[in-house]
Parts: sequence; structure tokens; C-alpha cells
Amino acid sequence: MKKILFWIFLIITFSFSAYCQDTGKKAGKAGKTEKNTTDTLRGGINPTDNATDVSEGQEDESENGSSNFVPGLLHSSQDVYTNNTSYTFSIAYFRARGYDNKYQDVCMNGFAMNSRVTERATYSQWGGLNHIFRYPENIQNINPASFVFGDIGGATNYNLRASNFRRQVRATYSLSNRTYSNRFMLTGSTGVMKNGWSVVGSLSARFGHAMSYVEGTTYNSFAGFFAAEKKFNDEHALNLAAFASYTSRGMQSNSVQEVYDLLGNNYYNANWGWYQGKQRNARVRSVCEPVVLLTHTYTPKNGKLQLNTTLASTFGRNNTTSLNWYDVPDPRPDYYRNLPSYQITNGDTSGYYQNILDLWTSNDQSYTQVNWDNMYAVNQLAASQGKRAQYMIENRRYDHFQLGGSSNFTANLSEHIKLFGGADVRGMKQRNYKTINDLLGGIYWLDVDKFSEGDFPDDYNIQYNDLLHKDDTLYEGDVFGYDYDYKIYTQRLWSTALFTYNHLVFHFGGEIGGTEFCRVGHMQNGRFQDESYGQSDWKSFLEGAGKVGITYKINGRNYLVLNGMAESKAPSVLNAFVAPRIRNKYVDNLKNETIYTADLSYVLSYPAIKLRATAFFTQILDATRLISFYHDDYASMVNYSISGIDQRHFGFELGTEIKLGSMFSLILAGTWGDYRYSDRAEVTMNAENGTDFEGDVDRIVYWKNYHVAGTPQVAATAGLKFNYNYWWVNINANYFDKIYCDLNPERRTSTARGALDENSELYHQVADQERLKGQFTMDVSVSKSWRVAHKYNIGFNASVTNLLNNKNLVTTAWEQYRFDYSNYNVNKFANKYYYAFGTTFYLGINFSF
Amino acid sequence: MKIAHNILTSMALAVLCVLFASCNWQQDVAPMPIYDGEANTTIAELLAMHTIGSLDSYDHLSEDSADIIISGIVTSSDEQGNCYKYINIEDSTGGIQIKINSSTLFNKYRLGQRVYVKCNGLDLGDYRRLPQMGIWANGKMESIPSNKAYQYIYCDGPCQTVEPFITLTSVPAKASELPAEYFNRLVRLEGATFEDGGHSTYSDAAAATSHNINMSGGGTVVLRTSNYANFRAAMLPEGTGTVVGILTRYNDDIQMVIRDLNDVQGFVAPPHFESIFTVNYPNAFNEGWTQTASGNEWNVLSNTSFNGFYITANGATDSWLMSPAINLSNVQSSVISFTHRAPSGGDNTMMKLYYSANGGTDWIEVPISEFSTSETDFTFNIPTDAQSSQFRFAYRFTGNSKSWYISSIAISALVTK
Repeated sequence: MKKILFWIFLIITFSFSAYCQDTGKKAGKAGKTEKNTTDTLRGGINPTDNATDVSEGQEDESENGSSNFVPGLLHSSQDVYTNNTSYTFSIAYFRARGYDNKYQDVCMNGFAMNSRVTERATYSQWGGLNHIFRYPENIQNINPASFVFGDIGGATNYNLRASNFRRQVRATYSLSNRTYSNRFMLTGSTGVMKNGWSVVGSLSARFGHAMSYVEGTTYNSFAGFFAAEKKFNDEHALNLAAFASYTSRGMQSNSVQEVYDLLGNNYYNANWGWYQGKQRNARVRSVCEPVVLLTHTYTPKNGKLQLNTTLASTFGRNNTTSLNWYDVPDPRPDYYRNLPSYQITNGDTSGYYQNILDLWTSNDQSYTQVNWDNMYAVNQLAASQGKRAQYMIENRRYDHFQLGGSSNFTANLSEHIKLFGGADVRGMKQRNYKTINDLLGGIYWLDVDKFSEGDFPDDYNIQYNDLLHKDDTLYEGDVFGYDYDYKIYTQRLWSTALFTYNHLVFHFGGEIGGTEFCRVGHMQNGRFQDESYGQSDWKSFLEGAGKVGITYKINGRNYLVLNGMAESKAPSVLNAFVAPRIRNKYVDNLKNETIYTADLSYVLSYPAIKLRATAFFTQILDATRLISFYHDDYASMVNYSISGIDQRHFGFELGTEIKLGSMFSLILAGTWGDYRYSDRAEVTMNAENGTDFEGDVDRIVYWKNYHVAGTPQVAATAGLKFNYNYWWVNINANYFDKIYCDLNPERRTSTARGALDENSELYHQVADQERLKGQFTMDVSVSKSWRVAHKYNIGFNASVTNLLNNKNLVTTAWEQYRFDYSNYNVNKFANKYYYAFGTTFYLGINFSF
Repeated sequence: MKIAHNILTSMALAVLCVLFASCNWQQDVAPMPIYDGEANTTIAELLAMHTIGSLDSYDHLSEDSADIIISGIVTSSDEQGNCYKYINIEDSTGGIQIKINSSTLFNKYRLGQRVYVKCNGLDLGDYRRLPQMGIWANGKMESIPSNKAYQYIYCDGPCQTVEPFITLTSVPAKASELPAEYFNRLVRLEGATFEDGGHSTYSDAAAATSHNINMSGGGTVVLRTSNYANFRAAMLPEGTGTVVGILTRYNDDIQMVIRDLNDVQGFVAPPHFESIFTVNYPNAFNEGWTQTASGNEWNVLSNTSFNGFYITANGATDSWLMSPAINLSNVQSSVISFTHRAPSGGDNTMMKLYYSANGGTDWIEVPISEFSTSETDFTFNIPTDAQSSQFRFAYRFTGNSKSWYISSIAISALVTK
């Protein structure tokens, strides 16, 4: 039987891997590299991506009003702080302790789902399968875990063994006005049958955008889950779980406040335009990354050991479309040259300015939205003359294949001593490339870099993105621009010992591991002919981590908990290359990121009062980041590799839940944090095209004591819970503050400062960090369930988020990386913002038996 | 257990104290760029590396030869659009123009900023004998691409005040007669007069424009102003003053380029005569003119052929026509002028002009020199001590069977603009 399951596993794995290896027609010539100046490399700090990732989490709140699926670092379990804040804080894209999502391990049957490229777990891999992914085991922060060593942001494990699901059929329908309108879910599970088998299946569909909050967005998602487990005897069981979620959605854009104000709409979406009478979105992300897990569970009869071993494979595609253009005006309607303010700074306050102002204030959608007709007309004209297309939609693709295994055990060594431990070995390959998605009426494309064309009249080759295919004409589906793989291998070995005594519980543990990676270029770039094609050197990193903790039980109701952790992590492969799209060259002095963290908690646990008060302190050293943007001073796309990023995060968390009689509870919870860069960082900048730098340019970023952005640093909620006769009502009032704008490091360099006087107004315009206003929101949720005929459960739930319709809560703000070196006008490339939605609702009914 | 409790509590307090004590919240400040190196060449030594001939030419400063590093203070600014696509730097030995292909250089190379220039790789040449550094291409000196400038030019430290290194009151006739180290440097011209002062703008709209500056001590400097300068349409001042600017040359013409209008200082237009009093004849007696008539009266006649006062006597007459009080206390010198005619003849025994410095209490006679049957002009310089705030003048007529016609009465005064 084991053998059969093993072969099934292999077959499924490799057939899917074949799918993911499909590369599209390989024909590439140099293409223009994208000109989207605010875009960053995938996995670099891209507020857009972060924001959309989190909002996706938000959409997925469960039918119970208070979610079992929450985004980011927050996971509810028994913790009185996390339990009462995770959902209410999610509207502000709150991140616990200011940590990036990559510091949280998300596991399935003990196998970490964090991508070895992005280091983050992608929740959309199981999006929609809420029936299955309902009850994770959550380890808060740096507490010890049994299934994985865990990172500073905590650890989560989903148990996907079919025997874990009791016999049940469950159906859910939900209606919402957020990103999709409808969600259907249907799940059946057999429980453990007499023959030792358990089977679970689940299907989900999310679709419809009639009520979507942001105009022009779309959503289509279909997901399936299957698990079968065979319990061979009391000691051995084997489980196969496989799931996939296909999601395709038209995305929301971000924009500058000028545009929002002109249109009176903080949810303006520049991504769509009218085409043949319909709204068409230029930015569509479609993701399908299936997961297959084969898990063996061994529980010896003596009850002293449990050993879980999982072999797993993940693979699939992640596609995002985007506009691309060559030698024509930027088609994005909110491009800075299309805005009234640019006309003023350009010296025209009369004719052209007035025309453009009128187009915006009257919201002429042929101007304020993507003008598809114009692009088709330009391309068709070119086609009629036999010339290349000038506009197109490109598809930025990430295909990955991962194979690995992990094993973990829990050993009860004595009455007082438990030992956890495990190992994890895996390999991953991710291909990163672009294809032509739609030529928009054009006939072909040429892969040349327009930034390079003009600058190097002497060197004809320099404009080509791929010298191996430089004379090819490209058609839809063809690869262009860049094409390279990351190959990554990691190994981990860890163990934690837990000692439990009458008044004292303590643990210590350690992890040791290694990471090796390289880049494999599939194109020979004309600008870096000798270091773009083929495989780079391998880099390997030794990693380690240690955890200690002590809980002192003052009495059965009062606890003091002190935890600490130190770790040394390999840098992300995303930040390891100076220009990963086109070069095999590594960043100089690549080194591990080091983290020290400690927290001290006081926990009170009475039936009527539950409280946790915590002070935490985290020091991150030598983190790295790679951004890429158009640099005005060099007239080139540059890669900006930041190393030595030091961050200090400290703050306080308080969660209290006080019972008021049998039906009501009062919630008071919040956090005050202070997350700052604790030292200066170093930058190595190099041009991706356009200019030829004389080597790489080094800079120092003077941003010590500036704030780390990406989350409100203050968040608080006061709530009232009501529970009587299967009625649950929650009302929460929330407050968010210390919301900071993400920095453009370039503006904090000596080069940007020049000889500006430190006290001058212009200096402060350039150097100061924007802090956004604190905001209040309110949420209400109601749910009720009935049991009918002693057999059927019917549940109903409704939640309204942001009841007061506050449309001024900025969830994400960042400075554009482009800086106006000519006039030092910071408003030429102004800050961009995402706003939290106003009032939204989520209604659901579910039925189970 | 109590001990453990205390230990934990104090640990917690210690952690918090360390945490707060270690935090200095001061926002980081990027220092101004500092050039890590020293100049090894003066600008004069650099200029000596290129010999200016009769035609524009250049010398390439090779990357392979020893470093040539100069240092200087930026004296130009394109903030007002006049120093177009170049900066000027100077040290104590000379100045050089560096051509950069950007029209907004003032934020990067601010006025008074010290810069270091690694000259290797650039071309040192001249345009009509003015030394320039840049790239020689297409048979002339061209600009360094703006995105390459950082490879050659490095800012260093804060800006300082820039003062002209010399003040000139005269210039020779030819540029070649000036010391070579004067060019491309900030120079003050004192006793400068614009030939077109008060008549022309700094530049025409269509093209860069030249205007002569005549030096009080002799010689002419040509002020060269771009038609893209923001102050292009301002009027050149009259009079004499000081002009600060970068001294350049165009072959043998000595030229100057100003940064903005603050470079043009202390110009005062010369005093000139201006009419400060005239008469609105039809309404004159309502506007302060009075008469004391014995016999015939003074009258007003205003038509196409005559516009003025007249009197005709057909019997014994002694009639005064007196002006209103006129304030001359602020003028340097003043003149009464009018035109008169005595058709039946007359002389200054019967037709008299008086003035009074005290509002008409005391009248002093001014003999009118010429009488004619046709119109005759008369002017009289008002004595300085009579220029009071209560100045009046009067005509006295004592003729019989005579007439006197007076028109175009005016007082002009020398005023300062």
C-alpha cells in the first residue's frame, strides 16, 4: 500500500512539474526593460505587492466574523491579545511588532510553505479552501513549537491529515462587496472509517465583481483539496494531501494624492479602461501553485514518541500582466506627465494645464483611465505599415518547482522533559521571465532596450536583451526581456528541549542549517555579455538560531514569561544579485542577516479576567533589500542594492478580556511600538541599461532613527462581545496611529542632500518622513447558528467592517524612488498611497450535517 | 520563590531602562558630500595645457596620463536661465567653463559650492578663444552628458559666499590685452553705463542679445544675455553703476554674463528736466489762478488756434494774473517757460513777469527780454532761493489799447528718477 501511495505521489508530482516547466516559445531578443519606475523586483520591498497580499488576506475572513484565517503575522489561538486584535487590526494592514511576513513560518503537516525565494508563505496557494484551513496551531512570536523551530514572527501549522476531519458535509455561501461578490464552498469528509481510511475533499469558487469596492477590479478563483489517509495500525499512518487554488484577479493600482483629490476618490484605479464597452484591466495576476504532501505518522505504542515525516512538492505559475510600450508616450493615465501639477512645474499654467485639469475634474475616462482604443489604433497603424507594435501587454512570470521533505518528532523523555526536533531538506527552482501576452493589434515585437539604444551608438549589440536571439521578431507567447532561474537548496536540523516543573517551565533549543543558491541566465544580455548567460557561482551560507525561554508561575493565575531568540539567516536570493534580471554578478560582501529578540510578558488568567502585557525588543542587523527604479540623475534604470539594514523594533502589547456577567465581555487591547532603522545602510547602485556606470556606485543611506514603514506602530481596540443562545455579536472601535511613509533611501544620501542647508525648508521637504494621521474605525459582526432536527447545523453570519465609512485611513504609503534631481521638487514624483476600504460587508450562510 | 520573583522583576526593569537609554531619537542627517582627495593642478596650470589658436581647437586630457585634479568655487548659476548648460569654476589662479548637458545645474552645483574636477578623459578647448572643458565633437566643444558628469565633477562641503576677485573701472580695447586669468572668473565692473540703458531689454525674445557697457575709465564690455533668461524682458538701467558677472570673451570682444538681476547694482538714472506744472486753461480760474483787475480783465481763450490767457485793454488798465502756489521745495532747479505775443506791440514797461517765494506777499519782477507781434518763447530760471513750497508767479499788464496773449505756460524741474 505504501508503495502504491508513493508512486501516486511521484506521478502527480512530476506531471505537475512538467506543467510548470512549460516555458513558452523561446525566442528572445533584447526587449525594453520595463519602464515602470516604481516597480521593484519581486520580493524586494514593493509596497504594492505587500499591500495586495495583505488585502487578499482580508478578503478571506471566515464565516464566523472573527476569522480563522488572518493575514500576516497574526494568528488567533488562545492568546488574549492576538485573539482580539488579529481581525480588527487587519484593515490597517497591521503587522505584529512591525515584522515582515517572511519572519513567520507557515507549515502544513510540519512542512514549511515559505517560498525559498520570497521567504514568505503565499496564502493564495490555498485561497478559498477555508473549510480545510480553519484551525491552525499557532505559536506566538518566539515561543517554542513542536513542528518547526520557528522564526521571530511565530509559527503556524495546518494539520492536513484526513483523519483530522470528522465525518461531515459542509456547504457555505458568502456574499461580499470587497474584492469578489460570491463564494461557494463544499466539503465532505468521511472521518476514520472502519478499514482505516479517511478521505476529505473540498471545492471552492470565488467570483463576481459586480459589487467590488474598487472599480475595474475582477476576481475569479477556483480551488480544490483532496486528502486520503490510511491508518495501517496503531503505529503507522500514511496521508496524501493535494490542493490547488487558481486565482485570477484584476488588480487595484496605487496613485498619488493629486489624482485622488482631482477625482474625489481615494480608490481610483488607474489599471483599467474601456474596451469594446467593457472595463478591461491591464494588470491581471493569475496564480496557480499546487501543493502535494505525503505524510507518514509514526506513534510507537509506548506513547513516548510521535514522528511525522512529510515529503512535499509545490510547483506552478505566478503571472502578472502589465502594460509595456516602446517609443510612445507612457500609457498609464496617472503617469506624472499626464497630471495637471506637472504642467505647472513645467511652466505652463494656461492652455495645456487647463485642458488637462478639465479632463481630470470632469473625469473624462478616455483620459483618466487606460485608453485601449488609442493603443490599438497606434499598433494597427504600425501593423498596416509592416512595423513593430509599440504597445503590448507583457506577462511577468514566475514558475517554480520545489521538492523536499521534513520530519519532526516529539519525545516525552520523562515526566518533566520533552524533546522536540526535526529536519528539513529541499530544493527549489524558480524561473523568472516575461512573455508577450497581447500585442494589442500589433503584428510583432522586437526585444531591444530603448534606454540603451541612444547612449551607445558605437556598440550595436548593447541594445539587445538577448544576443542569442537578437534578430527574432516576437509574437504572443514569446519570451523577451529577461529569463533566468534561481536554484536554491536548504537544509535544517533543529531541536528544542522543554522542562516543566511546578513553578517553572523553561526551554532551550537550537537550529543549524545551510542555504545554497545560484542564478542561471537563459539570455545573453548585450550590456553584460560575459556575465548574463549561464550559471553563476554557487553561494552557500551557514545558518543558525537559538531560543531560550522561562515561565515563572507565580501561582496558578499569574505568570511571568521571558523569551529570547537569536538567529543568523542567509540573505534572500532576491537580494543577492546586483541586477538579477540580467547579470550573474553577486552583491559584494553578501552576508547573513542577524536577529536578536526578547520579550517579557505578564499573563493573568482568571475566569473573569484574562490579560497579557508584554514588552518586546528586536534588533535586526544586516538585512538586505534590492530595489530598482528609474534614476533621473543617471537617466537609467538602476538596481539599488541596500545592505547593512539595521532595524530596532520595540514596544508593548496589552490584551485584556473582562467578563461582564454571563453574556458580555469587554475587550481592551492594543500595542504601542517603535520601529526604526537603528543605523545607516550601504547602497551599491548599478545601471541595468542606459548609462554605463564606471563600476558600481557606492552610497550611504543616512536614515538612522527614521521609522520603518509598513504598519501602524500604534493600534488599539475596545470591544464588546455578546454571546447568548448561539448568538454572537462583536462591536469594536479601533484606533491606528504612527503610520509612516516608506522611505526612498536615495533622498537620505549625501548626493541628494548636496549643499542644502540642514535648516532650509527644501532640506526638510527632501529629507523628512511623512507621518499620516491617526484614524478611527468601527466594526460589527453578528452570527447565529441553529441545530435543526438534531442533525443539521445552519449558521448565519454578517460582518460590517469600517462601519463609520472612514475613507482616510492610509494603509500603505511610500515615496516614489524616482527623485527630481533637477529641481528638487519632491511633488513631481509625489508619495503614493493605498487607502483602507470604507464600509464593506461580508454575509454568509453555512450548512452542515 | 520571592527571590526569583524579584530577580525577574528587576530584569524586566533593567531591560526597559537599557532600552530607553539606548535610544537617541535624533533624525539622521546626511552630511554634505565631501571629496576624498586633493587638487594637484591649479586652473592656470590646466589652462596652460591647451594653446589657443586662431581657430577653435582642443587638447584631450588622457585617461592614461597622471591624474589632473582641479578644484574651484562655482561662480555661475542657471537658476535664472542665463548660464545655459555650463558651470564656471575658479580658483585663485584662473577660471574655467565646464559644459554639461543639463539646463538645471544650479541645484547640483550651487553658487559658491566647491567642486573638484577629475579632468582626465575630458577635452580642454576653446570657443572663440574662451577656454572651455567638455567633450570635443563635431568640430567644436560639446557638453558632457548630464548622466556622466558625476564621473568627473565632485561636490565638496557647503556653499560659501562668492565675491568678484577684482574690480575693473576700465578695460582695454581688446580681450587679448586683458590678463588671461581674468576670463571665466567673477569680475566687478564699476562705473559701468549701459549704452542702451532705459531703451532696451536685456535680451530680445528671439535670440541671445549683446549690449555694450561703457566703462567710466574707458573701454567697452559686451553684456551677453540669453533669450531664455527669466529676466530677459527687464529694462536695462540708465545711469552708471556696478555690474558683477562672469567675464568671457568672443574673440577680441570682452564679454560679461550675469547670473541674475542682483548682479546689476547701484544704477541711478541721471537727473533730468520734467514738466511739473502746466495749465488747464478753460478751467484755470477754478484751479487756483486769480487776478486783480483794474480796468480790463484777464481772459481765457481755448480753441484750435490758441489755448491760453489774454488781455486786451481799451482804457487805463493795471491787471495782475497770478498762479496758484506751486511746491518747488523738492526740486534741484526749475524753469518757467511760456509763449507770448503782443499783437499791437508792447514792451516790458507794460507787460511784466513777477515771482514770489512766499505765496504772493513779496513780488520780484523778472524783465521779459523780447516782445513780438508773433509768438515768442520765454524761459526763466527760477533762483534757487525762491524754490519754496509757496512759489507763485504772476503776469502784470498795464498797457492801453494793447493786447497780450500768453500760452504754453509750464514749469519744468530737474528731478531724480
